[in-house]
Amino acid sequence: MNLLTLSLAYLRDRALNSALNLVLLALGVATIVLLILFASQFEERLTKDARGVHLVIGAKGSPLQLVLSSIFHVDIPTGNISLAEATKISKHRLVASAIPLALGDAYRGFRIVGTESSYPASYKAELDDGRLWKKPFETTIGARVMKETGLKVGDMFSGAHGIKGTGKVHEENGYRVVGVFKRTGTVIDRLILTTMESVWIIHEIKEEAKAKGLMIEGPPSEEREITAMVIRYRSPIAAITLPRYINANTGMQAASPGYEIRRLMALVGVGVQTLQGFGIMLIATAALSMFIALYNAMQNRRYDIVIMRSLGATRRKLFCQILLEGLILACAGTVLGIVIGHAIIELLGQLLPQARAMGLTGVIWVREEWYLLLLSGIVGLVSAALPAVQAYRTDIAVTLSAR
Amino acid sequence: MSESSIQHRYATSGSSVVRVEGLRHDFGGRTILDIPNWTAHKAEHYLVLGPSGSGKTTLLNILAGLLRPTAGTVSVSEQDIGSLGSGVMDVFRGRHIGIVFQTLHLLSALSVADNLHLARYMAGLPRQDSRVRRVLDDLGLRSLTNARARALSQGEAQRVAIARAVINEPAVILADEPTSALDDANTTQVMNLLYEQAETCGATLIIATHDRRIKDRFTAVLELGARQ
Ligand SMILES: Nc1ncnc2c1ncn2[C@@H]1O[C@H](COP(=O)(O)OP(=O)(O)O)[C@@H](O)[C@H]1O
Ligand SMILES: [Mg+2]
Repeated sequence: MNLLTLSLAYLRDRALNSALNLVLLALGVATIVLLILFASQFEERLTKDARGVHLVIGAKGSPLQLVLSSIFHVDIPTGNISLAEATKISKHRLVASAIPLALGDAYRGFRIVGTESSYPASYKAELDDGRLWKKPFETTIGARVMKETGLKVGDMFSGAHGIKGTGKVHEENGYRVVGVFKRTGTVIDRLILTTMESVWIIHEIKEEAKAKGLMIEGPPSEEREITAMVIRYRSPIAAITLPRYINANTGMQAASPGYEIRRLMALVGVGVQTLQGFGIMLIATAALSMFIALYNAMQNRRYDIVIMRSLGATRRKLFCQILLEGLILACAGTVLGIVIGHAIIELLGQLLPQARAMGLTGVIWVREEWYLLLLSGIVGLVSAALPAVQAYRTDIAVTLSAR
Repeated sequence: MSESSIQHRYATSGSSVVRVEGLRHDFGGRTILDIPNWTAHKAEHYLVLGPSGSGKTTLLNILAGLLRPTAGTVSVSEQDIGSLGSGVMDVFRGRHIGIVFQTLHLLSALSVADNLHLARYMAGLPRQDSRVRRVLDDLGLRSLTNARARALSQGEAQRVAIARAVINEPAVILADEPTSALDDANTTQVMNLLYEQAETCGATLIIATHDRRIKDRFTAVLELGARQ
């Protein structure tokens, strides 16, 4: 028997009420944890995928769409640009590196991207098996692609038109897997990389060209098109001059991933903040409800307090016992809420395709969660403070003679 | 205003466990208690007798250090309790004084055994399962060890209250109207138990009552008069 078991006995004594408050608090905490985990992973994912990319060049249209489609590979591309024109930009003195991307097909939901070996290198992707693609129709696939499609080195597959991979299947052109990347935690995990020629051949060569046996060559170089080009600057000055130059003097559009991500997060942030406010309201309701429960319980416990005092308990001990009751309930509710929040995120990450693509996981700990624990401690103390003071102030003789 | 008389049946020689000097207590200007001099000796048992409203409960509260008297000094086990601060008094009470309240006030959220464990814990004494078991056995409460205090009958609750008062082997046991709610058979049983338990732990028993059925057993009677 000590203050802890005593507090637990009192909580058990009004079990239904304690359980209700516990659930109320847990729901509030779970809501906030859910948002914290989602937002942090979402932002981390975006930043990770866009790391090292200063500028994206593509067809005119929505800059956000261009960034989404060519960096995160989630939206449809804005269109195509001329390879020759893009190459001119890549030779600009302010450009450190430029990687062309040619999109168009997909295999079971995973995009096939025609590019150069510098693309996976920019994400520090390492080979797990096989080698990098060299010739047209050779592919090196991401870890997630392997896991979900079961493709392995040596396997053949056919891409389907459209980035969702649900369009017409290009039966005639079989891709071959020559390598698999290790998991990177970036967009590379979800991509099938090949040469740009593969994409050109499939899309540009029509029936007649095929008849002429031009398959392996692709279209003549002046007609070649790509979807986008991702660029790294040589110097920060480029951020001021280069986008303006491209947007004003070429038929292409330049978009800054950093800027677009900030814009996107600001939009998402409004929703996150609204929901977070809702979670805080739930927590406040729980605190109020805990206070009311404890306050009411104190009316019946006046005699218990007198008894404990007469048994030798000091005022301070009783004060602490009641604070402890609030703390236990608040901490239990918070821990339950944190567990629920993590479980939901983990479940979403396993079941929801979009969340899975994002690599959403519940098995992480975010710093903000410490603040939540701290907050719950405060909630517990605040809700128990007044009842505890009441207990402290209880006058034994007066209570005993009150009939 | 108030008339108190002390009737010693036997001359006593033991050391004093409770000593009261010049005790007076007023409520709202009305003097409820006025006891110039009274001593309770070790291992003897005392009855505080008087009609309802004569100040019995008030006296016990003062002896227990739960209420500070308007005037006078009270010593328990040679300690002037008026000189103790509130926190020290609480601990002193837990160690030296066992109380059976008029309305029993068991902790209803706890089991019978935990009510006793709590009494030891609050007094800062180490947990002692064997002692708790023995007291429960002595009072015929073994089968109720894990029962919720809330579920007990009046007679059972009365016995648990006695068990709680003796668990810490106090020097003095104060019992307020322990038999007022009981029939004759239960009154005899409860009085026997109180008596036995007080003897077992060598405690001085002080019982406040208006129940003249139990007058016979006692060394001395402190008679509190009815006030005008
Ligand atoms: N806290 C109090 N405030 C004012 N008067 C009180 C208080 N407690 C007791 N009294 C009065 O003191 C008198 C003695 O009460 P009490 O000691 O309870 O008597 P008893 O226990 O002998 O019945 C009664 O008249 C009662 O109304
Ligand atoms: Mg009384």
